[in-house]
Amino acid sequence: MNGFDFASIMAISPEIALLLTAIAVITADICIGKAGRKCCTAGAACKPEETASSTEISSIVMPFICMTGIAISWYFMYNLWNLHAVNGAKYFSNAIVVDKFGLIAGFVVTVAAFLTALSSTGYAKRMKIDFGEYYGLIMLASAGMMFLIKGNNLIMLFLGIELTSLSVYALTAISKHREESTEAAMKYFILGAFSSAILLFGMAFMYGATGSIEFGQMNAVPTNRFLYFIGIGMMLLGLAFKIGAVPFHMWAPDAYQAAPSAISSFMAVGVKTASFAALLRLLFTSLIHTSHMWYQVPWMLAVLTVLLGNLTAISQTNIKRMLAYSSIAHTGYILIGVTACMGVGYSTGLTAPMSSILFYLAVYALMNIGAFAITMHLGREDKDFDEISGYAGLAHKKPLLALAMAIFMFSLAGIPPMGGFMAKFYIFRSAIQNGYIWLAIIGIIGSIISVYYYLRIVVLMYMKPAQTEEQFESDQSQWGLHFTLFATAAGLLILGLLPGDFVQYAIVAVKELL
Amino acid sequence: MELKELVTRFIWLIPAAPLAGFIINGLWGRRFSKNFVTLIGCLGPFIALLVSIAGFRALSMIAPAERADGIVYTLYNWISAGSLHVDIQFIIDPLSSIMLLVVTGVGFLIHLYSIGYMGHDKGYSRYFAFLNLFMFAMLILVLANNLLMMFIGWEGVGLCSYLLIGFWFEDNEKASAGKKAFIVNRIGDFGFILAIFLIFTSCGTLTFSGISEQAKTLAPGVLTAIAILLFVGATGKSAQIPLYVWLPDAMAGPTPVSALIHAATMVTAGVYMVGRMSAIYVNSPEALIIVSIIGGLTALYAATIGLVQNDIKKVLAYSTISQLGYMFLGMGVMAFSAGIFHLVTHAFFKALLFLCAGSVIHAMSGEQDMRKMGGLWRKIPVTFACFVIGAIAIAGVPPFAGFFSKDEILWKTLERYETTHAGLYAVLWVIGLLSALMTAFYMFRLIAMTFFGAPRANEEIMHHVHESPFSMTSVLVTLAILSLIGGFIGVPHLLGGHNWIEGYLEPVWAHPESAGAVTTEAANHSMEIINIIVSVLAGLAGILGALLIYTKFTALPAKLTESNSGKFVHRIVYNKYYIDEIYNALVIQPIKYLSALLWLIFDMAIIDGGLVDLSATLIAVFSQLSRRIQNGIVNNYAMLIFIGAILMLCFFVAQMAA
Amino acid sequence: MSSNLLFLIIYTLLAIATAGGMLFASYLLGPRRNRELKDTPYECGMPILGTARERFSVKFYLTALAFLLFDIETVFLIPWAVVYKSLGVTGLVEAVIFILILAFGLYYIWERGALEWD
Repeated sequence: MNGFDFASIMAISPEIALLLTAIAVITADICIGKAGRKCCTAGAACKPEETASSTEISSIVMPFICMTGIAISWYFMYNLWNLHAVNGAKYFSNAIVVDKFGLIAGFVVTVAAFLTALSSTGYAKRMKIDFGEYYGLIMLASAGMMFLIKGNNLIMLFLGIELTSLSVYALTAISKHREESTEAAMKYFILGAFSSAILLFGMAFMYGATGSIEFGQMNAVPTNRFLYFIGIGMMLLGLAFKIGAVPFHMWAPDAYQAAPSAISSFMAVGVKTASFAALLRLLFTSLIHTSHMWYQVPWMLAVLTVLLGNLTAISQTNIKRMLAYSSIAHTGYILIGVTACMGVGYSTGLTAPMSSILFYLAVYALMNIGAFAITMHLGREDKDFDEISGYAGLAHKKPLLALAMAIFMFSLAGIPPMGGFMAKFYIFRSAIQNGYIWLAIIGIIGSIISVYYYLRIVVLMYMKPAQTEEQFESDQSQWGLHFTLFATAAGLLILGLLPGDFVQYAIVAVKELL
Repeated sequence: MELKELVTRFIWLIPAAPLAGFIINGLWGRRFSKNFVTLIGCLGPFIALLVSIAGFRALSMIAPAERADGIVYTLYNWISAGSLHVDIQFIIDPLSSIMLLVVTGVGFLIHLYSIGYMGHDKGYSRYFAFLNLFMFAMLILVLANNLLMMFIGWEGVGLCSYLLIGFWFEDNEKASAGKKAFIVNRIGDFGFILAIFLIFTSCGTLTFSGISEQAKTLAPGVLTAIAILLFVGATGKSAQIPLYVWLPDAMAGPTPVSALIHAATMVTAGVYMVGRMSAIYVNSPEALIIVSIIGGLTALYAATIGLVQNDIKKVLAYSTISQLGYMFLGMGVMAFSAGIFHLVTHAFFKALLFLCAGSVIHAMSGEQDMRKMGGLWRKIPVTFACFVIGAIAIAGVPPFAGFFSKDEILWKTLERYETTHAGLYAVLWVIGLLSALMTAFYMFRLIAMTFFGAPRANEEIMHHVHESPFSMTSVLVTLAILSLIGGFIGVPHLLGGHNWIEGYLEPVWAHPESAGAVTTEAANHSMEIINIIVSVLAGLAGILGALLIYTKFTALPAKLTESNSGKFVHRIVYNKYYIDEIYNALVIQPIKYLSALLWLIFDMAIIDGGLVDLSATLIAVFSQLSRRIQNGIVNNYAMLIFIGAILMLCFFVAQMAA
Repeated sequence: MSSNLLFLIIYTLLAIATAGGMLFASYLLGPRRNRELKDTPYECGMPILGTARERFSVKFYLTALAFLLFDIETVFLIPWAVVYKSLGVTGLVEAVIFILILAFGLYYIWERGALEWD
């Protein structure tokens, strides 16, 4: 198909909007940020108030550019949703597919990006982050995630992963003056390059075995079984790294702890959602017919991930590290859903587990962003508020903030009536229905263990006295964060109490994928 | 049908308006001025009342044949899990429209009354917030179009009842009265929720229309089980034997709360629910018999206790239990319309009586013991007049409201005399008559002791006695008018009326497969006339007897209780047949001992010692171990990934080899 | 299949044995004279002046990275140039967009001062 007809352009219009936003942010950085930067580099003829005002302006303008761009891309997504009512039309020589599954996953990703930009309004300035790079990379990463979700062949999959990963590596190191930040980014980069290489290698094998790189075309009977299965194994490994499944999770705790909280949550939510969407698309359009040979792999990954993630989270003293392990554990729950898709009689029972995965990803996005936003809200100077013991007595000083945190913790632990409960409920139910009772039991055991470390924070906040008087004094105007906290907490309650419609959307989307 | 569309679009406002009031007053009420709290608190119920009236109007414009389908509005697809689909769906059909008018109408009046009654309380905003929350829950219960939503409302009103009974929670006794109400209701709710499960497993749906369709096809045993379990729920909420014990204690709450929740609306939820589930009941004769027997017994039993109580609110509480028994008696003899009719009239006159009692208590500076009252009628004439109207209404003297509804229930009971179980219905009719007599007696005993005779309170209190402010008396007068004329919506054909309410509600009820025995009109007429005369005579006899004994022959009661046998009976009845003590000995104490035993064996030894500590220690150890893996050295990380990769490849190679 | 696998295992074992055997043999047979001179990088060359792990200025890396990007641009554009006639206007527009994006990148790093040496 020719690359320049209108429909093709419309098909990637949300991504184009995001990329143009990235360029707009960078341009704005050049225009506004120049004055301030010149002063800093030149040193001599610099008026401090000029620098300050330029920083002030760009700290407000840039997130607004981002949010506007994301809103525009939502508009395009909405158009696509109505345009492609039933089909999964393919564009650019079948490299891009537009379907409701991709649009919903893309929506979750862009909501995460939106909330990240919104909550960064005061935060980025306080953390002394370079705005242009920060917001530009966030937009580039979102665009990468969108391509990852929409990609319909192995090359798009790889390009999406790389665009996302490279942006996220750089974002991890965005606080350049902090040593641990640079170190963690370096580790993340080395391991990520390692896993990307394996992924690419696996794709090459796959192409060799099936003679195609296009999803849906690779399900011919493999000419060479050896190549085929090595290929599957390597690709699974590469994606398992991106979603942070044990034993390929080692980058996550270091990276989450060292990155600024806004980036940690964006990383956890965006990368996870996009990678899971790509994984599901790959597995269930192309590889499912041989799943009897390898369904144990997600099974084992799920068990390891749930148990190790939850167990290790218990002994953490840093809340961001704890949330990193919790994120690993949540990857495990979602992997239970992935395994459930391969259960007995999967042709009939596939919609329930897959739609529950989509629902889980949406809920996880809200609760994770919310929890990290609390560490941003209470932080001072260029630090996040990440010592768990520091949360003692929060409820007496800032009751609303503590209430929001309690909502996030309850939701992460999966306690009704929060969204986290419904999400877990749907996942475990689909596992049981498709014959993975033991997997569901392991998941539930994991959840029970997790209650301990989530509720520990609630107990600290509500039942322990504050350590010092001025502990919870934060020092900037944070309307963006307030809105983020309110939106995520309210969203969790709504998803928990009224999940019906959202699940219906997910089911519609999943039916289209299959 | 413009009005219908408008109503359909705004049904959600009925519960949402009080909810908004609750949220606003609950969160920021303390910071607002008192006037603003009042405005917010009363606005919600007022809006709900307006929309309810519009809904009623819109429904009357629909042809009677289609009315049963009602006006349905689906707000949200709430739960969709497997075969279980539950929507948040509101319905206004004849039954719920009547109930809506009662709840919002009486509810709004009681909100107005509370302005004066609670004016000096420091928990003013909290009170209005809870009251609004109650309205919200009650309206959800009424508007629900499926059992699960009704259950949410059901639990919600239970919660509000608990919060408002224990409103003055500084007083330990009042707080524990709240707890008692909550716990006793849990027992009933347990039955209710079992019934919901059973209905879902047997019918596969929870919507009322779905259940009605499926009910006929169910096995008789299942039907009876469902019906009885539902009734267990109703006995809890509507204070029937054996779960009535919480209601007298619930009088610890503020008097307007007693009027709204524990007389007019919440306690009638059980009757409403049985009406909603009429399809289940008409197909289960056994369950109907149980309902009517329990109802009749409760009516009589509570009336006997009411005869000897000295606390003005306790008398009214037992009267409420007794009247609820009447309603269930009506439900049990398949006189559903009559039961709901009595519910409506009872809401008017019992709310009136409670509010009058509140006015009396207000005037007496908080005194509730009737032995310390007397001679009040000159000082608070409006309250007195209203109280008398309410009392005549409840005594069943025509043309006051209570006469029509009570007479209807008695007549329907008597009518069943022609069918099987003749003896049973005859006995029930006699019981109904006896309780009507007693009702009239204790109400006028109350009036005589409170308003007539010489003042028994001390000088200072008598000096302070004053008529309540206009905001309270106006509500009393409004309710008195309703008690006076409310009965005319159901004048029986025999007396030249149309019995409008029966015709209006008729489409809602399910009918048994075989219509009951139809006797000749003429025989019925003579029977009906006899029934009316006898029941009116019973009421009048009770009134006269009470007035004579407690104004002329004041020594008589004392003499009776002094005599040997009289003393014995009086002590038993006065102490409410020692039911609380019996429950305590038979149920509460054994449970306490058992739970202490279980606590020692299971909790302390096995769970705490064995499971919890052991597993916690194990998990902590594992956690420390797994934490070591993450040692910050990137080479080790890569190594682990590499090992993982090798293992995965080995797995695939082994798979291929196999 | 299993015979294939057997061959694979035998082959792997042989490979490990060969490599390990060589290392072990050189360990056994090789002469060892541990003197200071032996450990220097150039045993018979110039004497060492300092550590080999010098820190380079970060500017080198920036320039190298920028260079790499434009190198890749060339790699893309040469195949395009070969077939650009058959790609027509579409191909031209696409190539222009590509170059514009890169040009914008160049402008950005320029403005940010990545090309200034001091």
